[in-house]
Parts: sequence; C-alpha cells; structure tokens
Amino acid sequence: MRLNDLLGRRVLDTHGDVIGGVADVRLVQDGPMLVSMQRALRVDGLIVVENRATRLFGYERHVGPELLRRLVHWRLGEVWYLPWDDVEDITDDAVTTARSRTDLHRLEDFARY
Amino acid sequence: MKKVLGVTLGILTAIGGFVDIGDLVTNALVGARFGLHLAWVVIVGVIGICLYAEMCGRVVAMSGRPVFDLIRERLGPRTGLLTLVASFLVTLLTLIAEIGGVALAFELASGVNYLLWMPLAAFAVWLVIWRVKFSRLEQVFGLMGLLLVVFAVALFKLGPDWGELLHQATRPHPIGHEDWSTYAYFAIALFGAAMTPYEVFFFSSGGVEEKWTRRDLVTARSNVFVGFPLGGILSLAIMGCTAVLFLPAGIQVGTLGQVTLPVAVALGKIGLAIVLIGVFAATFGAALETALSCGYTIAQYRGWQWGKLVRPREASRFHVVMIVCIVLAMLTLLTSVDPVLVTEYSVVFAAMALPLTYLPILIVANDPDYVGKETNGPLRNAFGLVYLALLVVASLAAIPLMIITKGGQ
Amino acid sequence: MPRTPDTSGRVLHAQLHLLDRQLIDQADGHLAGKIDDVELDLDADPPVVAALITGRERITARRIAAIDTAVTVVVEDLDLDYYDNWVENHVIAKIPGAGDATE
Repeated sequence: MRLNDLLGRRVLDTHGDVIGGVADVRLVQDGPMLVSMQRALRVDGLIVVENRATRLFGYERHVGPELLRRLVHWRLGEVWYLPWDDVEDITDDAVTTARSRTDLHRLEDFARY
Repeated sequence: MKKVLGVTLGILTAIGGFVDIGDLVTNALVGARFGLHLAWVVIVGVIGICLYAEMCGRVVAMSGRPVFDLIRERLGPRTGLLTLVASFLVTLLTLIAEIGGVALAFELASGVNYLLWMPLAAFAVWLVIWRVKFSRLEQVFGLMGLLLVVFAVALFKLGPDWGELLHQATRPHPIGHEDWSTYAYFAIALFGAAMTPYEVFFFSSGGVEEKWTRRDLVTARSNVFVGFPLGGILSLAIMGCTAVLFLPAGIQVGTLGQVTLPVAVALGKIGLAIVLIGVFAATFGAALETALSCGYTIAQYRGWQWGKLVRPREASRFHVVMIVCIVLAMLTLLTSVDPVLVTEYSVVFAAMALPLTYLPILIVANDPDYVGKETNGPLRNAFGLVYLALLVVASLAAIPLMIITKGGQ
Repeated sequence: MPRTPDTSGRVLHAQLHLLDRQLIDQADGHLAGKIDDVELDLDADPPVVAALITGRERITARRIAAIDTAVTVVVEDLDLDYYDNWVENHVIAKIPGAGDATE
C-alpha cells in the first residue's frame, strides 16, 4: 500500500465513530535484516490527529518555535498514537481499530527531543 | 585577501536584492517624492533579510540542503508547488527587468537604443552562467557592483543639510501631495524588495555551490552581516541623493538617466562613468542571480541535479530551464515593454510567495535534524515570528494598495 | 537522530523523514530526484517499508544506504537519470563546453 493513500484516511474506533485521520506512520528500524546489512523499517504504528490534517510540520516532536508549535497543535486537536497491533483492518477508505477513543495514548508519551 | 573575497556571495546577493534595476529606480523615485521619510523601511528590511539569510546559511552549512529543498519537504508537494509558481514568476519577471536594465545601462553609455543591446545582454548573461566559475562570477560582479557606493560619495559632495535629512528619516509619514495609501504602497514595495525570495534561494544555493560545511558557519554569517547592510547603505545613498536633488524642486524620477543624475552633478564625468559601470555590474549581477534562481527553484523542487559545481551536461535540465528563461526574457523585452514596469507586476506574485517562502526556513532552522545544536535561540525565533507576521501583513495589503494607488501614482 | 527509551531501533516518521526528501546516488553523490511516495508492505509480518517511489521508478528498501537530511540510495542498474540524460543528449551536449568543468 502506498503511504500517500494511507495518509489522511479516516480512523474509526470500535463503535464505528470517526476518531480522526492518519497524519503519519511511525517506523522503527528493527525489522528483518536486509541484503544491505541494514534492518528493515518496520511499521510500528500510526499517528492519528483529531482534525484530520496531514501536515504536522514536524511538530509532533518538541522543536521550536514555541508559538508555531502551539498554533499547529491547536489546529490539529488531539494527537494520538495507534500501535500497529491495535489496527484491526484497513478498508477502502478507512482504518479501523478495536479500541475506543478513550483507550488511546496521546503521542506525547512517545515524543522525542 | 581571501577573507575579504569570502564575503562576495553575500554582497552579490544583496546587490541583486537591494540595487537591481527595479530598486535603483524605486529608491530614487521614493527619495524624490518622500525624501527620507521611508528610510526606516530599508532598515527594517535589512534586519529581516539578515535574520532569515543567516538561518538559510546555517541550514546549508550544517546540512547541505538549500531553501527550496526544504520548502517542498515541509509544506508538501502541493503547497510547495504554489510557492514554486509564485516565486518562480517573481524571479522570472525580475530577470526580464534585469536584462532590460543591462541594455538600458549600455544605452546610457553609448546612446544606442537599448532594444539593439538586448540580445547581446541576454547572450552575455547566458554565457557567463555557462562558462564562468561560480566564485569568480560572484567576486567580479559583487565587487564591481559595489562601485555604486559612488552614490554615497556624491551625497556627501552635494553638501546636504544633514539635520534636515535626519529630520525626515525620523518622521515616518507622507509629505506634500502624497497620502497614506501611496506611503504604505511604497513602504510595502521597499520591504518586499529587501526580502524578495530569490535572495534566499540564491544565497543558500550559493552556499552549496561554495561547498559550505559546518566549519563555514562563520563565513556564512559574515557574508550575511557584511553583504546585506552594504546593500541597505547603497539603497539609502540613492534615496538620499534624489531627496537632496529632486525633492526640493518637486521633480519626479522615472528614468535610469535621472537616477544617475545626482552623481553626474556632484562628481562630473568621472562620477558618471563610475556609476554607469556600477549600474551595469549591479543589473548584470542581478540578472545572473535571477537566472540562476529560476534554475535553482525548479531543480530543487523536483530534486534534479543542479548547480554550477558540476559540468553542465550533468545538470542538463537545470541549464535548459535557464536557457528557456533567458530566451523568454529577451523575447518579452523585444516587445518594447518598459523593463522597470515589469517589476511592478512582480509585486503581485511576491505577495503570495513571501510568507510561504520564509515559514519553512523558520521551522527548519529550529530542527536539530538539520542544524544539530545550532538551533534558533528564543530571541531569533521571536524576531523571526515578528517578521513572518510583517510579511503576511505586507502580502495581504500589497494587491489592494496596488489597485487603490494605481501602482503608486 | 536520538532513540526512544523503549525501542532499540532508530525511529522515523514516514511522511516527515521520507516523503519529499532528496535522493542522492551513493556512488557519486549526484542528486537523483525526490521521494514522491513510499510503498508499505502491510501484509508482511512484521509490516515494513518495501520501496521508495520516485517518478516512475521504484527503489527497493535494500537499496537504502542512509537516511539523513537527504536519503542516499544505491542506484546500480536503476535508471533514475532518464529524463536528464534525454535532455543532455538532445540539447545540452550540442552546446560547446557542455562537458567542461568550471572548476
């Protein structure tokens, strides 16, 4: 599946309600070893934002300027992290999860910098 | 000596930004109509471009990535394309004006009509881009363009009332027949000219051409803090000359000949010769800067190999873009459109391009992935945000003001 | 780039760190286009990045040499320079001096 198709998709919770949209895909370089002696980039999970924008400008991390970061986060609404194990299915136009909205972890728990 | 020459990139960039043909005429025109009542805008503009050019230089030195690379990366392909179209059009329109300006300089020197000089001017610009080493190009035209400092010399020689000039400079309001709408229009024109997008495209791409690494951070900074203030000084000198010579008599400035008149009056034939060489070098330098920037922007958006640091055949699409632009410029000019008027229209596109160009720069200059530990401090960010806001205001006001004042009349 | 405390591999965000990044040919440092899309193999276990897409070319994951402010890839037999070569052969090569270095 292409990344551009996945980005922006609606994310539905276990009740069928729209939680938000896919803003980005978190990759971790600890997958199977490749021929090039590097590990593959494993899809670890999805970053879901409440207001279905696809541009985070990199502000899911704690970089400045502070004012712009606050503006972007204000526009995005909540930012959650959905681990791949919690992704139930990818349908034609949505991503479904077995969790409900209240179960989700906020991305801050995984933020860097 | 190498240290002195090491700042020529900044000087050439500034010349293309502050004293290209459009600005030469605008500065002179503003001086004749408003005296130095708009001088503060040049200073605000110098601070703004210094601020952002330093960020660009830092990003290039630390990561090797030029501005348009970042614009597409942070804004995405669609908004990036919008920025590309807008800034490319500004740059192309300016290129048209500059080649016209080179031809006009030849006309002033020789008396032969500028239309006849046009194809030669266009060909010369292309030939220099094709054959001359980047550092040589920046040294020759940067330093020759500095001959425009003869305006400052002329200003002193004209023996102005410095108290009067200071009085004007410290009073930011329109005078005489002018009203606030023309005042605001020219304020935005001067501010937009100081921060015109191709300056940062050229400066950051030039940093890659010069192969800057993190050891060149000091060089990058000295380029900024020597080049752009010098450009501002040249701007103000031109403004001052016409303020002294034309304002009291109520004469309006519209031609290149009038722009250079104060120097002829103050310093005679020698002064005139020097200023003509300076005008030629500045407009030729600006033509090089804008032609190269036409290539840089498209190539960097698409990810093509670009730059004079490789052989032309290894960056074929980059060179073809520039050739097409130069030919387009020449054809447009041969319709005898007024070269200076062409830059007026670029204001429209600049309005769109400015905030979209500078926002990604501010974002990336804060990103440790790009600049390591050299991220913006809180003071730089505060100024950066203020200028971003100013750019948005200027963008929103530019087109309405252009319509209201009918292009500054 | 720094790691999160609870995983042992490098962490990247696909859109931020891969999409629209400059591609560089590892062999000679030449610029080779932008990453237009990323192909994810979501049916694999575990799901991984399968390839990078630039224009019409597909760069398989094993060719990725480094991911930094630009992404360096091993080009080998891929034809990433198709359009530039076309322009080179039909236009630029006909102008004298096209092969001269300006250094």
